[in-house]
Amino acid sequence: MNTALIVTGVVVLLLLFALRKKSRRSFAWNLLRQVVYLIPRYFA
Amino acid sequence: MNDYDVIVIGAGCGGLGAGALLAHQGRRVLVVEQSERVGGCCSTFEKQGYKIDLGASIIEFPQVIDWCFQRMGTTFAKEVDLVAIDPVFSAILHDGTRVSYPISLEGTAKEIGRIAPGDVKGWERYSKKMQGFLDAALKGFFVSPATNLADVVRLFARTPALLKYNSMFFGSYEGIIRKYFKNEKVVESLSFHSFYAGLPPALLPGHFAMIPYAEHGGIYYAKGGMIGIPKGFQKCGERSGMKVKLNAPVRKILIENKRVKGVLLEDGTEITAGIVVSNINAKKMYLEMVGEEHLPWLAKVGLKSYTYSMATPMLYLCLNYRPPLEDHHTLMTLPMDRVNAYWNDHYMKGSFPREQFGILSWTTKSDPSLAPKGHHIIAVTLAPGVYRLKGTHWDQNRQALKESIIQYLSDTYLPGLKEHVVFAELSTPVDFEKRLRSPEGAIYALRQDLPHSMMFRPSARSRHVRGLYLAGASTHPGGGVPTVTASAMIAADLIEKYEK
Repeated sequence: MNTALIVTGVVVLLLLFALRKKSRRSFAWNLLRQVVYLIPRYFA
Repeated sequence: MNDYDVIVIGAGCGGLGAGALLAHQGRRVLVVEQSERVGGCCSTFEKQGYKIDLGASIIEFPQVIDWCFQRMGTTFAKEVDLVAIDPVFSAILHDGTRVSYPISLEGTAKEIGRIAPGDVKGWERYSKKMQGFLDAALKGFFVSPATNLADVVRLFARTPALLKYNSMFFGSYEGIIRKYFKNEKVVESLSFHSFYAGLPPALLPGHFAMIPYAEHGGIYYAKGGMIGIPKGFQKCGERSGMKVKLNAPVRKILIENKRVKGVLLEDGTEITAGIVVSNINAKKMYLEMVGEEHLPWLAKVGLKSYTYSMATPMLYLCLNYRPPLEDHHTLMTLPMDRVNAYWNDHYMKGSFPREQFGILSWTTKSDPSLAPKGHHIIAVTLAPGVYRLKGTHWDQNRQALKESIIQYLSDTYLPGLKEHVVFAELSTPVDFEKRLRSPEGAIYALRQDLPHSMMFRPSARSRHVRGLYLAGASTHPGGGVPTVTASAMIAADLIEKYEK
């Protein structure tokens, strides 16, 4: 349980570090909000 | 027997390139074009003795276009009278600083050293990285099909060097530029290039950061106007029997038993062919010309989810004086953060401010014969302007907008401009839609971020209708003259493989 919490914490910290700049956050958000369309677009 | 073997819809560079290659394969080809001239976005129109470029004002990656001509036993330089552009561009930064980047890498390093000595090393590292990427990408990524996952796997398997650059695909243009350049002025001078692929620096995938470097491989203008390039393809195609029919808009693509059988023109004429190549916006083509009844539900969801690429208003200025510019291309730039902010605060919110940034394309610098003696032409690529303005409409305030932009340019980048305008024309996204039938005036058809790229962009070989192929900005590798020419080669290769 403790290990899982530590790993989750580290992952969250790494993510926050990676997305500390606004431009990176907007780039990541633009990709993320389109993920749902990838499968239909593959068949378009 | 069918009227033709192949009908190509749209006489842009992608359509004419594909048509010419297919005619060279020995097929009977007809290219149908809705407007009165060829070229699409890469075209030139004449008004009051001035030859004005509609959109594209230079070409990069001339080698890609040359490959297409070479396949037909000729060369780009033989078919089109080209003028080399050097310096590749100048930039007037927001604080008035002027920079001018020559074609030579050493000359550019020197210019960067003048404004930011600390970034010379960054330029050298950036150049090395981008050259490596281009070496791997040009012959692989650009001219290989990406119709499905297997194609993409094959592409990377054939060009393993591309894997070394995978981080560029998953970062942003801004991230890559800022990795190599620390000085804000240098970063600003490279900020507008992201719109060459249709998105602001923060949203554009990082591999497009090769654009400012790639320009040093040579950029060219076509003497007589940019229409010279599509006309070069047309000449080649016609030598092999290709026919071009202007003023012939297509209403429907005719389909029987899930296979194309021709097209129906808006005047009611039916023309039959076993193969149709669409060089128009794929979303519009599938949903309106093929029809939803021929598409599976998942494909319809995918097609409807595509976002059109940005639109860019253009201001064409015909002048009776020599403008106070130095080079063919002068960028009017803003700091990169402000370019990103413009996208979020203006483009996405439907406003179009008077204060502008963009490109001043002084075409008569490279070819004085485009205008009467002593006169000049500047085609101004304005900041991205969204199709639907909030609370108003492009047609509603066209005159006021044109006058205020001319006044702004006169007060800032082009002193004396206002007194020397013989005539000026503002081409809005709505005009582009009318002229080119490009939905929402989209200049690159669909967005060019990762979820609209490669196998997620409409496939060059239709998955739903046999005999239907795609070329142009809607399909891989995307928008731009060399890229749509690459798509023409991909379409011709696929047709040769699947349509014996």
